[in-house]
Amino acid sequence: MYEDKNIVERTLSGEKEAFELLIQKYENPMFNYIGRMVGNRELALELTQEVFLKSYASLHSYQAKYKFSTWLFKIASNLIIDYWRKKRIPTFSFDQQDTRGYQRGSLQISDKEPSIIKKFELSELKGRIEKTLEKIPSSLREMFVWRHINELSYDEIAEIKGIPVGTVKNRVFQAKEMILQRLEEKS
Amino acid sequence: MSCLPVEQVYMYLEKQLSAPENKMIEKHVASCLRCQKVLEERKLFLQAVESLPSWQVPANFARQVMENISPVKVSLWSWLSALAGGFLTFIVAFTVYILATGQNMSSLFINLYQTLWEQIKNSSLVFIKFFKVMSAILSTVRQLLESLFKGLLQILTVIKPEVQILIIVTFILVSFLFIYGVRRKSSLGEK
Repeated sequence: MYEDKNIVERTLSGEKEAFELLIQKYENPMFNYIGRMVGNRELALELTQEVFLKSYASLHSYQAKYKFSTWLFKIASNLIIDYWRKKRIPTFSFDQQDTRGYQRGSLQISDKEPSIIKKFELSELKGRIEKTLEKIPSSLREMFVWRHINELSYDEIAEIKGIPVGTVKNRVFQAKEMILQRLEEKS
Repeated sequence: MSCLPVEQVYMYLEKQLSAPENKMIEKHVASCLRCQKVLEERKLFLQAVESLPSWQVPANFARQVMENISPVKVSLWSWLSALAGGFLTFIVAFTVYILATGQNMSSLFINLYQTLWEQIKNSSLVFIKFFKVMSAILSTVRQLLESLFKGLLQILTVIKPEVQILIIVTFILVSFLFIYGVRRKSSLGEK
């Protein structure tokens, strides 16, 4: 984190090439996040590049009291929302999303049936999780990806989205349970 | 003790709980088959999620981004600061020059005024020439447009009214399609 701030300072003082170090550090985490949000490799690459171009152009507005990664993911999140708006893809809030059949904590666990997770080999399970992830509401998917794929803390996610930590924890929990429930429905 | 909330099971697996809370969960799970199953299933699920394949950018991605980078935008405040700094430096240098050379201020200002007035007179002549050329160009354009309009009127007297309407409708349609096409092309995602 401290290193990121030094690199930002070096870039702002005219050492343009220093910014490449930040790109190298965050290109894959950013690509993993955007890729899972838009579900298309080429588009994800294009948007990932745009995130870095935007962040470079507005680097003077970065405040060192925040983590650079938090600031970068905030830019990416806004960029994805703008993209969906321009392409007229609905950017829905969680309340408006399709949460059919899902009730918080309602996943039924039978004592006799084998566990849904145990039914699959790990590789098959991973494939099924990826496919199910694409189908859950974007606001839940975003937080799930940040928490469990980008491995951000709940506090960092709350800072990116500007919402309480409790809300973030709740949404990540709902995302996980929704994935499990949909896996169960399909099996 | 009643069964553990699933949310708490996740927090336990993600090491988000305090030591006493962890102990309490471990104690409960040791004696509850249902919660053992919940814990085991969520644990396997999280392990699968954490081992999902990582998306990798192409090897030269960072270099490509750097090639497309444009210079850092300088804020308006920075521009104003630089301008104010420059102006202050000029004032200080000017004052030092006056003090060092011991020149009479009034004669210096008269010289400055005369030089400026000469510059204004010279640039006025250039402006007058520029306006003359521009008015000549505009008059030629006007004559051209008049001839074009007269020509069109003559053509219209020959063409039947139905054909005239057809031409006007086609023109409006083509214009609309052109504007629509340009708008679509200039929007994001049409690159």
